[in-house]
Amino acid sequence: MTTALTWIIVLLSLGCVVMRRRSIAVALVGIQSLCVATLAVFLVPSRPSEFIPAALTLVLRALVIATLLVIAIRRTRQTLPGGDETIPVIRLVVAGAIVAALVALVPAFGLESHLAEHGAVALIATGLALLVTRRATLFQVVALLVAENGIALAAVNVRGGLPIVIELGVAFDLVLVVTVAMVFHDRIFDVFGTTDTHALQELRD
Amino acid sequence: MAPLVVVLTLGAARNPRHADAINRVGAPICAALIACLAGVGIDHAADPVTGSWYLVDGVGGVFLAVIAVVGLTSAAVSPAYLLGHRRARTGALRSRQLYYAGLYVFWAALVAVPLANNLGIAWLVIEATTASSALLVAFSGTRSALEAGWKYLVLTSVGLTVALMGIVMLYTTSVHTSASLAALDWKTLARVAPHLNHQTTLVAFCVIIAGLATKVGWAPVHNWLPDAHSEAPPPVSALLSAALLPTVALVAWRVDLALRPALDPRATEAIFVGFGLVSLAVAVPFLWKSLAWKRFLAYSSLEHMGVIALGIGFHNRWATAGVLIHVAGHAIAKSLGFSMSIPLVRYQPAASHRAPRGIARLSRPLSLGMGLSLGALAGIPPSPLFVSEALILFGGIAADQIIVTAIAAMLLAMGFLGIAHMGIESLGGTPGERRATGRRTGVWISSLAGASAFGLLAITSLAYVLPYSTLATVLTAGIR
Repeated sequence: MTTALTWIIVLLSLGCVVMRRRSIAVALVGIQSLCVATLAVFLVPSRPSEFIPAALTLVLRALVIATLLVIAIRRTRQTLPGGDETIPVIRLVVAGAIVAALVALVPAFGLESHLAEHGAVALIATGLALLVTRRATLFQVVALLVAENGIALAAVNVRGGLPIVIELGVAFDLVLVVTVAMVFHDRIFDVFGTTDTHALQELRD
Repeated sequence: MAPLVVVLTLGAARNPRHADAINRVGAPICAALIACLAGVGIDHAADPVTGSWYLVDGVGGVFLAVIAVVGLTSAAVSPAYLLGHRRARTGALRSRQLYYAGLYVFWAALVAVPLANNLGIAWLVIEATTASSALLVAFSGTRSALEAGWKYLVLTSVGLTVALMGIVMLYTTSVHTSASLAALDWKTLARVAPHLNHQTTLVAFCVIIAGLATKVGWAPVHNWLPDAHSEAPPPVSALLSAALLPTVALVAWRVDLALRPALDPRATEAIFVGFGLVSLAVAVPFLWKSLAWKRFLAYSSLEHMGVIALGIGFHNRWATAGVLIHVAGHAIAKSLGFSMSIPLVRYQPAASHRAPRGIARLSRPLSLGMGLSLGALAGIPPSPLFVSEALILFGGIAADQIIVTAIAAMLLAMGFLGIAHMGIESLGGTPGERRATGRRTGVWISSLAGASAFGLLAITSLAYVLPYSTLATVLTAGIR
């Protein structure tokens, strides 16, 4: 079960790379977050009792962030939010290359399974690939969320779990950052008329 | 906590003057409390005061003193900035409440960073500074400010996520049983470091430092820095440049000190020296360009963070003393420089988007303030930055890094010439347009410049005792 979930989590992140529509990418990353939370819930019986609040925090975090993103999409309806982006196949190749490179470079670091280690690194790499290849502001937030899901996947597979203070703190910080990002997303749409970050090119030397 | 109390009090303001008054009363109180904490830390350099999550030690005390002074200066000049600021979307009172709330939350988060006794807690607080400061960067609401704020938010958040992955890797390597926050305490990390897997620890270290480097603004992951520092309100730019960047560098420094027993010293030295040289090399060409004042100061910050990285990398008492003096001297000089941009755009509105010209003919107090800032940043004696750079370069020689030291010295010399060029161009020449300002402007500029000059000389005087002080000795010895 955990193996299948881990693979689903990784494949969902690659889905975010190829999808054109923001709503689908947000749905994918929302499902991904819930999968990580589900994985945490499955592992509760084999963990100390302090793991339960961590698992619940992941569930709550997934729901809150998905809600924020859906509101953002509804407030900034537009066609081609990312403008003329590179074709999905090229984006997928770039993401695959970054994932392969980082998975090869990062050694084993002691999680409960090698698959979880590779999965966590793959998600971080995919987040970086999304940041580089996608132009819409919402996709750049999705990039951050995919990378954070990689952290969450690693944290869930740490023997004994991460300290609850760190879990709660990271979740709170992430919700805070995403909220601020949504404020920016709104203002950028109001001022620039688009959420394509290629419109944000005024500052140069 | 004190800055957060000010934030709560702002809700009671009935008009813009009330909000400014709350700021004028709250800022000195906050600064005094932070300075007291700094004094406790410096006094306990040999035997730090520790708790379950906090640490008050000598180096933290130095950084707390810097945060106190820069925060006080930023709060003090904020009313002058807000007076000239127009916001179409909110009224004067609401914009002040939002601004001061953001400023004090940012200040509070900054204070917590040097106090964090735990790598995980330090990460959480650094992330909190991102959220609070990103909104401040875009406060003016202009297109360029939104662009700068967005870049800052996204790039530093992704960088900190990478750093968090490194922290998880380190935690996993060091803990084998139940979850324990104490596993990430600085002392615990230092104690278990000799027993950690070297390869995994090195990778975790590299990932953490690479992630933190985006927040410090070390090249080549500095892309947000010139934009954010030039577009933010000047008091916020001062906090970003003079307080935030060095404070995050302190966390990177502590990671280095804690994990040294597990790592090859040449590897850690190479990482910091690499960031230092690349930052210097990237910054220097821009110091030769004719840039708007704040953008110029932003590239100067990139240069000085590079110098700090070199000092951390060399890791001996000379370089360590140099880093501490550099942080303090840079803070005062940079804070003064950003504060001068407020009257500068009143005298010469075009200076907001191009290099200033003929300031000496427009206003003697303003030219004094800008000249003092540039002279200090350029490292002209008796600037403390002259002493600190000399100490760091001497530290490089003592660390047998002759070629690196020679390259750094050459880059610093080129940077000096660039700053001198900016000084001649901005203070000399014909000003063109001119707008009159009141006599009070000249008084507060002169007062700020005078206080800064006094502070800079005081720091210079410490340079003779710092290399052999308890503070430098304890810091060089590592975390015990």
